[in-house]
Amino acid sequence: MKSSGLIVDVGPHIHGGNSIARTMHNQIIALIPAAAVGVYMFGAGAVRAIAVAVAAAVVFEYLMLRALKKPASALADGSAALTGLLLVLMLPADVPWWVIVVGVGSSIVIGKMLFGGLGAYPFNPVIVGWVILLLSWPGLINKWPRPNHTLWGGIAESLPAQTTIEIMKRYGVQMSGQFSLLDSFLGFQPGGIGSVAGLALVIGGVFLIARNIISWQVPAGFIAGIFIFGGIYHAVDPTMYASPLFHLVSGTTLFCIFFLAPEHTTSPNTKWGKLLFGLCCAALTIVIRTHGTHANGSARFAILLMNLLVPFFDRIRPPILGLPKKSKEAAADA
Amino acid sequence: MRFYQEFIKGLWKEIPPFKLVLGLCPTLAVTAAAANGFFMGMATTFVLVCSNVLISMLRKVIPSKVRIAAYILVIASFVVIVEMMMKAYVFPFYQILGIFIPLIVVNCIILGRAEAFAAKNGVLYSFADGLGIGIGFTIALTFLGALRELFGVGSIWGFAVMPASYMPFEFMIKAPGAFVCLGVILGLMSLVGKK
Amino acid sequence: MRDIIKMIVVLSIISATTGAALSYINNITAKPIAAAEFQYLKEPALKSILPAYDNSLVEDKIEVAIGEGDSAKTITVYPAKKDGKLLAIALETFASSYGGDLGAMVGYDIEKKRLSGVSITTMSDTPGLGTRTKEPKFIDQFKNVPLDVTLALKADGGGIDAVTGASISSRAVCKAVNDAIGIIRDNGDKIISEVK
Repeated sequence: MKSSGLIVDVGPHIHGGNSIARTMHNQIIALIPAAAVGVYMFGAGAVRAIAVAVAAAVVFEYLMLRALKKPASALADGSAALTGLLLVLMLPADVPWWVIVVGVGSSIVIGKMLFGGLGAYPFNPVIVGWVILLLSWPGLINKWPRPNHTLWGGIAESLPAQTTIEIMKRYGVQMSGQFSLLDSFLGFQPGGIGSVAGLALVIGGVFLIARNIISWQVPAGFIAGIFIFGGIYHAVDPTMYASPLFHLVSGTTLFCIFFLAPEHTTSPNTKWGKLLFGLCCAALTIVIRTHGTHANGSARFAILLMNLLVPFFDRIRPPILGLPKKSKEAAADA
Repeated sequence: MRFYQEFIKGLWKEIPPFKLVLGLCPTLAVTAAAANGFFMGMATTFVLVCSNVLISMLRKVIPSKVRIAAYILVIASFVVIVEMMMKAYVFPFYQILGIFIPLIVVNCIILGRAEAFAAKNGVLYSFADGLGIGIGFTIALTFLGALRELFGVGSIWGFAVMPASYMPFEFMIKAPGAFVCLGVILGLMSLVGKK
Repeated sequence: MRDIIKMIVVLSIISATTGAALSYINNITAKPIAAAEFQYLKEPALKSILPAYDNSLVEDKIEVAIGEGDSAKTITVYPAKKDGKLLAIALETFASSYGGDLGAMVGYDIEKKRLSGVSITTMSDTPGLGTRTKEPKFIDQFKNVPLDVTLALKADGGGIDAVTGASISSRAVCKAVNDAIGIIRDNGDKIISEVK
């Protein structure tokens, strides 16, 4: 355990300064680059959508705190605003305002507060809200506006605005191969307000890891998984299956890797658990994207399914040292 | 007076899916529309009342060792009767509810009432109990169906009530919507019951 | 000992009574059930495969005896008439498929001497796979087929495109239609004369 650099001494201890509020505020800061790219790409519509989402999230959170007789001061930790922001960044910029309100409401009320609030929910509330929207108005939340900027290649003009994943599913890998991966990475692709901007998301993610807000294992496992499992498919038949790099920069993959999968409540606690969690999310993402019908939401569905297994990942932990031999198993079960 | 009490308890105090939390399979499966819930509830009520009365009449005759077999025999017969009647006279609903009708046989409300009530009480009270619980079940299913239909389709009992521009919240009529609705209602019921 | 006898007697009496009650109810509801099934299951199928008609199919339907010896049976034929003139006939044939019997209503246009269409009436195959044989893309392949061909899937050397992933259901439809074609080919004149 030397490598962790953690030395526990007898008290008194000094508070490290970490808190829920600091965690949430840092995540919001980390999303600013992605949101900025979204505003640059999609214009005033994106600003409006983000404002509606954050306002709705705060209002819903306040009402639920009142209804559940919890202190309203919990509002200040920013978790509600973060939920709203994360959800809206996955939606198209021109989505009607009431869709945002229903989605954010579903996230906060059903996904978060009814399960007991922050720290108690089994599923990522942002994804819960998004799935409810997908089941209700698939046409509205999968209809992407064209980015304002024409770097998005010439062939796209002849196609309806759809994500590169949809193009891959419908017209085959050959067609999707015509899009520059660099363009996609920089954000020049149809998609959600903030989920298109790969580079900005990576910057935000690295910022979070550097500030120790999220641990590196989940994103690392996820990215490694995309390369391993996407690579296997690609190696079997490159004309049938897209390259792992394509999977990484398309759709919401990077958004999921850095902002949805490492969500504190719904990801495992241990190092190996986190790494394995990331790997499994990636495997499911690739499988759903290759064989499933909801290719667009593949990474989010993968995370939602893996959330179910988090309690099992949490059982992966180092053995407890210094116990008498017999009671070791009992201690491991406890 | 006791007759009235046995009847009325099924409508609120022991309303099956919400208070007893029994019979959840049909509650979740058929309540995508108010009418479906209503007809499922009526079919169940019919079976429940008939089986309660008959089992109560036979309660002293049936040896306790074979009572479950005898109850199931009685219940299954009534279910088959309901199925044939529905097929003959309300075929469109049979097409919707068809696969759920035979499942009334194993609906735990019916066997539960037979075992817990009809086997120990007189015919009249058993009738009241069956009718009360059955109507309670119907109310619950119709209410849940109406709620889900209202938001999920924008109509109640097939009549459009929402403005034409309303875009249905389809989540409500899908399976996860059923679970969420039921969960919220269960929570509200126990909240009200607390006071 | 007395207990056991009592159990047997009571259970037997209950079984016998419920059995009798059920058979009685079955008797009274048999006719309405047949009518309802016709109205909701067969009629839409018939409408979709027959040319516009103005007679009541359920009143005009006739039972025709076909075959000889061991293969003798009666089939139900629905005649479609307009202004009293016989336009087409329809009959239902069955073939065993993936999840049980599959029923196909086959329409035959007397003037054109070709099939006017096929519609699936009953099937219990996998939803989303076998049931896709009901889709126009598959079922419309049977329109305007003359009587002198034997239909088969492309995989079996014929000309019918199977539904992907549902070759058993597709084959069953082919078989049911072939049976119907056989019946019409062998007994068409007899059926038409009996209708008139």
